[in-house]
Amino acid sequence: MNERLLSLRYRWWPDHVVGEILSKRWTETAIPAIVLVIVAAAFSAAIPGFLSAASLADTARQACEIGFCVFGMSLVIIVGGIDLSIGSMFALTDFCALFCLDVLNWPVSAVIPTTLLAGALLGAVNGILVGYFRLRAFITTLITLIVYRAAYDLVIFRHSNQIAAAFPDIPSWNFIGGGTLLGVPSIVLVYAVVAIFGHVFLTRLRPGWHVTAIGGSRRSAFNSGIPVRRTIAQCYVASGILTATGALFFAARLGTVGGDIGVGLEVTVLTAAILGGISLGGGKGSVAKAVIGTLIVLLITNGLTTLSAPGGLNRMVLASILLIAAMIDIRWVKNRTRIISKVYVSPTYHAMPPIPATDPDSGSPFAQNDRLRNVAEIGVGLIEAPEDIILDHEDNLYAGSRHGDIIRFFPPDYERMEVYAHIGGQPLGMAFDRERTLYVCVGGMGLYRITRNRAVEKATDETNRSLRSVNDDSRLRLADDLDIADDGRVFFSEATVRYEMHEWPVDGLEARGNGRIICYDPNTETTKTVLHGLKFPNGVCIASDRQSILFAETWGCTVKRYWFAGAKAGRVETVLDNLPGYPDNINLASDGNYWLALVGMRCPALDLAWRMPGFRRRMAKRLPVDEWLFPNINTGCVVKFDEEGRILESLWDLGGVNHPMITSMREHRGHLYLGGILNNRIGRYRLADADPNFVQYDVRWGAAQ
Amino acid sequence: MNGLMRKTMPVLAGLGMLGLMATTPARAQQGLEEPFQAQFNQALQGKVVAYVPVAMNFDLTEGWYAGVKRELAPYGVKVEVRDPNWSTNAGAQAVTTLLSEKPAVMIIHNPDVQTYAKLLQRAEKEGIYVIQINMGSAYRSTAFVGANWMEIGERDTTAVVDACKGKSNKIAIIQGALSAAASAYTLKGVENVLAKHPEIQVVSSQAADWDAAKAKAIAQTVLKQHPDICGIVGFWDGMDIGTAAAVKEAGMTGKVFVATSGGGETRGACDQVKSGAFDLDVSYDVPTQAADMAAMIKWLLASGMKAGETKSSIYTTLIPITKANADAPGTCWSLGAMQNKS
Amino acid sequence: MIASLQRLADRVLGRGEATGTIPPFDGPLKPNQLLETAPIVLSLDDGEDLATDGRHVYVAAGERVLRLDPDQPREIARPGGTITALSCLPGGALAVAIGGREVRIVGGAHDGKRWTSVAGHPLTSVNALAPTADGRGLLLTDGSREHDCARWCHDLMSGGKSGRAAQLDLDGDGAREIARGLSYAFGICAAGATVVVSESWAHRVIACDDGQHGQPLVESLPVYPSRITPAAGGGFWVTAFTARTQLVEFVLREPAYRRRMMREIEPRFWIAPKLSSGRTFLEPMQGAHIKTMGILKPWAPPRSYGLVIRLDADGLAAYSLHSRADGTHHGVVAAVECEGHLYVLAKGCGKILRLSVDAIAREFSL
Repeated sequence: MNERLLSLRYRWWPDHVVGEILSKRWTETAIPAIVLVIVAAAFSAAIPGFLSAASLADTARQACEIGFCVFGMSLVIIVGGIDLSIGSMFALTDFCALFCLDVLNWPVSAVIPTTLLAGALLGAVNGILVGYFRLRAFITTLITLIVYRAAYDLVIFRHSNQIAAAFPDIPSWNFIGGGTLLGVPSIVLVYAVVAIFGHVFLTRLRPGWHVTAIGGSRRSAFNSGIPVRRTIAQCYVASGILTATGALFFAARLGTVGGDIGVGLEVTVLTAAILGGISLGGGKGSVAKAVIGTLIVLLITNGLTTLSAPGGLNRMVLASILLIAAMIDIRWVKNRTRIISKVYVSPTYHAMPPIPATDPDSGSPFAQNDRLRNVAEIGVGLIEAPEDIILDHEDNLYAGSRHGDIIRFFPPDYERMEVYAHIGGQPLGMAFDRERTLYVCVGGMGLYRITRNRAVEKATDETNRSLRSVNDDSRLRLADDLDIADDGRVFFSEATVRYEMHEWPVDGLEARGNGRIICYDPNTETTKTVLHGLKFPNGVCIASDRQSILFAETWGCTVKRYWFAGAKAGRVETVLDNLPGYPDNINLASDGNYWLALVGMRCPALDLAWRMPGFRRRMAKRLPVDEWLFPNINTGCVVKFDEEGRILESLWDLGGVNHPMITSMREHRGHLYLGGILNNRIGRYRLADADPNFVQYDVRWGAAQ
Repeated sequence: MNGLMRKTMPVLAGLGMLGLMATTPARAQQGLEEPFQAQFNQALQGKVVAYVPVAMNFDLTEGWYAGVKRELAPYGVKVEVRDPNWSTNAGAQAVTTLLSEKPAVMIIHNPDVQTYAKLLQRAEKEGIYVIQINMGSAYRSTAFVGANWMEIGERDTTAVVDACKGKSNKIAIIQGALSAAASAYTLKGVENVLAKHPEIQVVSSQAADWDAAKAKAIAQTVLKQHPDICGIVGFWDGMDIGTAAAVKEAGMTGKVFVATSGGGETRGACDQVKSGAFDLDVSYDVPTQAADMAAMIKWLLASGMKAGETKSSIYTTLIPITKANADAPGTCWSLGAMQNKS
Repeated sequence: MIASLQRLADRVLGRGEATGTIPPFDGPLKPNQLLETAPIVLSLDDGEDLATDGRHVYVAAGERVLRLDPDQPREIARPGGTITALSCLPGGALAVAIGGREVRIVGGAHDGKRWTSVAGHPLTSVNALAPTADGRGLLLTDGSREHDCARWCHDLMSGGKSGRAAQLDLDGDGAREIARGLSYAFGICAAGATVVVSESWAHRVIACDDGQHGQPLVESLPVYPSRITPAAGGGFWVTAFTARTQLVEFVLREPAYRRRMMREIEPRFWIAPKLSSGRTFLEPMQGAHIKTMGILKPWAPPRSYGLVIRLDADGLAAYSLHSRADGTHHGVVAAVECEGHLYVLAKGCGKILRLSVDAIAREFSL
């Protein structure tokens, strides 16, 4: 009863979604977005009319002025520096704009470019010092902060009263300061344009990638040929121009050059940037984060002032927020992978019937023996990780290796070998199609094919994106085995969509049914998933009626049959249930039955652990991977079965000397060839009463042309 | 018998009541209904006055707040403070927010003549009475209550010029925030007097941004450069504490005539004059200004006048504080006493 | 109060005291393969204990006591019943523990003397015997009160803490407990006035001075210590019959899984330390045990291990002899020194090994 409840709970509650959501990149922006929503809700509950259209418009103006500065600061932080002189640059460019307008009486069309140019020059000073002379950004911009502020104090001493006396009433200037277009303040429109351009720049354009690359690692970017110094200098110039833009709108709105303009602005801007999630270390950030951070900071300061909070409280709150945000930023960046990896693994309930007997004297078809003791070896020590082997009509033997090669051994004694083709990844299951093109499932890459001219082509490496997975499951992570139907369609298994190839044991710990069967149609070059929710589907073999495939589920310890055509199309039936081991590849036998490799054997302790998901979850969290309970793939065997689900015989290497682990076997002209992904050899076993002329290709496609 | 009773009782009761009524009018005829106070109370009840100073926590702004609140609170008027804490930007933002909240009255203490000008114009267009206190803006609103800065500048400078007769004739000017009304207009007054006294040489004229530490630093430099200086004109006593400290450290108290101006609070003004830190402190007497503001507010709220329809000013009568009258009671006021009374 | 809250938090989160971290094999315990490469003297599948009188080495094998003569072992006694502990007493006598429940003297002055209980409690799993320093008494350890010698794994999995060490008087009838409440006492040796006892589940060797609680002599061992014998020149040879792994420590903290495992699975397939491992695929396997290209890495978490530690008289380890995770000479339950040779009984593979003490000492440059 308890187990029934447990199985229901684990079937219906999607624990795995949490880990998948956390590992998405947009989660990092989602957290400040949630904070923004909370802050807005809290303040609009405390202050009536806080979010009314009029007050939003005013907040928006201020937000956008600071927002331009936040963009500048964000750009500089992403490139790996910091710009503390933003406040002083803001003041100086504000002065420049008002001086040109009020004292020199230039037209607005001249004031705007002059102000922007002034910002660019101020930024260029920072850029040259930090980018070209490679001074430390913090100290340098701190010094320019002081220098610019002193310059500002000097110039306003002479001219501030002149500017204060002026009361310009130019329509275009007023529009910049307070005008709206269709109800939207003018500055918001400009800000939106700049934001969109900034987003495209950072994510889609090459210079934006350079910026992020430099921030990630200056040395590597330099080694890759990115013009590091020039890019950094340009970022500081851009920061100056953006600050000047903000100052321009500020000047148009308030028209003031007070002594405290821009004082403390850098702290506010820095808080906004970090609160939004732009990492101080550099290399990470986005426009969305900058916008969210600006809005949060502005809502908080506005809200506190409206609540008549004493003035010092405002700055204290901002400073504490900056402190907390910086701490969380550092913690998250350092521990992100660790936290995600702890939360990601979500074991589930997996129950199987008791293990069938395998004792040598048990009398069952699985009884252990040592028939494989005297297996001949091919390529001992010369080939590593031949997961699958296949032979063609001329008796050439092909096997994959962990170096990404397909190795060919030449008959009759298979001593001579050569690299037939190099694909990459880890080649797994193989099959010939009618035209003798060799299709190979490559773990970590997808489905590939090698033509008769030894040209390597990619067949497919993606399938349709399903809606049931937060992870992007359109990419193939672990294409395992394949077989080809009469019309050329390739059915292959993808073992898991949640883990990469080298993390297969974690999928075993989860036992969640993350795998699927996919169909690739070379006639139309389309790929689509036909079955999902399978527990590590592995071997695939076309059945005798040519309208169905037999496939093995490794963690499910079953072999099932799926009809893809004919009257029973779409149905799945179990052929072998409750195997004593973990099934891997399936291939044809000469007597019309099938060979199945059991890559490992079940053990009672792990079976019990599969029925206790909480135990496995704690084990995954507290123990290193080396210590976890694993499926025992040190021992395996080969089993022959028929389509009615009867086990006919089994072949073992009881001493475990020659072929302890077997992932695949292929019968060819009276011999059984054995491969194992952790072996450094291929086995060749003489089958006493098998058809000495059996060639799988001929049986499948008719005699060769 | 019962039916008769039922008919005669009401008649008897009515006669009784007539008799009573014949006696009561004699008492009612002694008082007169005041027809205007109800409308006054109604006009003030529940109104909000928003007060945006440059910052709280010093004598001027706290004194105004205490005074206005004491006068208006009994009528149900709520006085709210929005404290920008010396930040011009925060102040502008506070005023902008108030525009959408629409209080009945705004009391504005401008950090400079430019920043709030357009905002106050908008405010009055939307029907909010704007009263500017002491530091005005380029935009004149319904009421201005405050000192005449040019007069202050002239008085201070005249006193310094008189004190410099026969000495080096070198003076220094320590301004406040450059484009603040209190600073810019005062400077004009100073220049007016100096124009008439060409023998006076201004060796230094810098802005200390109302900050005592900055003022002290400027004064120290000036005193080192010109040890024979005879007078300093400072623009606010709250800041000139620093100036006086610099003079004292240089051991020149009494040799340098320090003239300044301020709100006239006991500790900030009278005590400083008594101790010799200041030689002249022109006071614009905060309690008077607070009372002026409260009076204006009461008048405006009860009048129902349109905001900005008429604009006028109330300049505060200045009280020059010197050693002669620093001891006299009533020259200065106490912030603590003002806050206790309200 | 705070401490218990902290302990609760640790247990829930699996950190602090509740982590399964194990002290590393380091310093004098740095692994080598000396035990694995040691020459084999005798193969026998029922060896249980070794004893020496200085001239000969005696082996308890099943129901017989054998003496290791140069040509071939000779049976010299058959006390009747499976022997679980063996010791040589001064004067040529042998002390044997039969079935863990009875201690009997064979030969010598006190021939036939037997004990079946100490301090009111019957003996359940006597697994080690040793003479006292003055030769007038016999020391024994009784591993657990609930389980007999063969079911030591059950005792570990149920958190047994009922072991005790006792001293029997050879002259009189006296028998008293030296220490009780031990987490599986398995090994005892006299050193002057003090007595050292192996406390296996607590991974330490304690020194008892006639008090109830002994002082730890060696603590935080990465192994489960077993029988101790004196070494020539002072000090002890401490054997360890198996090693700790983080998985076992984890399972010891998972009561639900442990209960079901003990109920539903055969003991030889439990997640528990063993005397020998790797024989059947029905044993639980850990990630590091996957053989790549046919090789099992020696530093994989040991499911079984072979270890003999040389302690000096102060309790500091001087050096140690190992058979690592990829070896077969595991399950060392007894080691005795006789005439310059160290005889080691590896019960996991059923072999007696012999090493030259001088050669070992030279190897470690002592």
